[in-house]
Amino acid sequence: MIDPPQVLLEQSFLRAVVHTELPDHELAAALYLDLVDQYEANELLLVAVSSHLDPYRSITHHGVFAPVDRLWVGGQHRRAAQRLATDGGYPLDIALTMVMAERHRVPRLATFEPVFQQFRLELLPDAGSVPSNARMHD
Amino acid sequence: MSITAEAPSFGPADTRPSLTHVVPYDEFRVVRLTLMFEFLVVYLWWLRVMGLPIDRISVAISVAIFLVCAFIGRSARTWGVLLLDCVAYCVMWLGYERTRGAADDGISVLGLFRLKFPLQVESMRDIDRAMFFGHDPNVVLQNRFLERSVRWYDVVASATYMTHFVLPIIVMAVLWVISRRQWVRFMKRFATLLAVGCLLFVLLPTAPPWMAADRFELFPELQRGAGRGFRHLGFSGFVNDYNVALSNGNAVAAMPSLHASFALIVPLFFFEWIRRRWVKVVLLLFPVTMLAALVYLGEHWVIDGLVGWAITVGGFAFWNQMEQRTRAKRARTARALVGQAAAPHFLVEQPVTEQSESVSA
Repeated sequence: MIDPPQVLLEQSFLRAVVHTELPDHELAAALYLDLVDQYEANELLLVAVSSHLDPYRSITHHGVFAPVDRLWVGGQHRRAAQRLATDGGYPLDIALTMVMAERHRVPRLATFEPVFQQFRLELLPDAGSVPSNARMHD
Repeated sequence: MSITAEAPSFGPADTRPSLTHVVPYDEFRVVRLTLMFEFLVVYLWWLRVMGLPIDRISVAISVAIFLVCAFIGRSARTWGVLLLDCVAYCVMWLGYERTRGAADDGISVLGLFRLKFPLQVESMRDIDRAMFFGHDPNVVLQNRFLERSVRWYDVVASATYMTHFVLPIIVMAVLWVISRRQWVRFMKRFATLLAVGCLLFVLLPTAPPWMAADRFELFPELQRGAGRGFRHLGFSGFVNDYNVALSNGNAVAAMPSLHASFALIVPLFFFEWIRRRWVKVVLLLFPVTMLAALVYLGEHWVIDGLVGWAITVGGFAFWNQMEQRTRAKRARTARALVGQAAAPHFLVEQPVTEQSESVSA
């Protein structure tokens, strides 16, 4: 409401930023750098689900994800995600991202997961800018 | 980087379902909103019947009840963070009260001697007189406006004066609920103001105008009636005696005026969200009214308020700069490390495999 707009960096995006061997890496890195510029200009806040940042703990505070704030996952979030995963058939990590984005009112996601395209979210990169060799999910 | 990404653009909104329609509803949200509304009703009832809570403990209790209403059903971690915030909040106020109360007795240095600075009685008055061409603003305002009966401007002055005890606290409580990030930003500026204020209370103990008139007889006695207009409205101040000497009132803590500072810090904090200039001007009328009220009521010299404003603005400038630096530092770090982050020593993550990546929808 009174914070700058938040952009949630979803797990697939975090992974693509970090892992240079992934096909999405260069696009993710370029987009991330642009988001970082906007963060520095105080135009937006970068957030990620805390459990999705856990694998990068050593680079969260003083590393490549230094500008990214954590959305801390509580028991209630896990329970809601579990219910969503069971009822909606979503993978648990995806369901958790959905719960956190909804509970924290984050309408913008940086992700390479196509599943989010079915929801009214502002996605980055948008469908048009995803290269043809981007990972597909069945 | 071989790929030049297009400027990030977000897709347009459409008719697809929002996450709200898919994600299980947070049942506690209704509970929180209901409780906060009930708190508001009870607070207004209390204000009308018992009076405006103005002693620190009553204010703290009312804030605590509000926060419990606002945080019911939140995660244990959120409660933990809230608890730490509350401790920091209490430490800040206790530090303020202790320092402020000690200022007129001087500060004991390692128990060896007492550092006590001379009481300023005439200096602030002289500055005021220099600014107002030889007139005493307090005396001029009271001679011109103060009457036996309560006039509308007495009500305005008194009500404005009383907002000091609740307005910043209400802002803190609301920010606490809406955005902890903004709460932290507000508290940095607020705590800086209190700290610098306390330092000046010690270094520059200053007799307020009513004391200069009453005890030092610098000019004819000033009427002191900050609550007059407030009582005229049918309200009173609620002060409970907790038998705890928390509020070590210090009569010579006039410089700087925290009344004036608090009245400025609130509108100033919200300026960045206000686009229209006239709204900003209207908001700035509040601290101006506060300073006029303080002078009219004989509580402060004009210079006390101006110094209070200067500290407030200085605090904002300092923290704005610090926050910008922090953002720039983090951004620099991220820029420098993008593309290098996959080096093994950076990660504790398991190696990525195609299987672990692929997720079925």
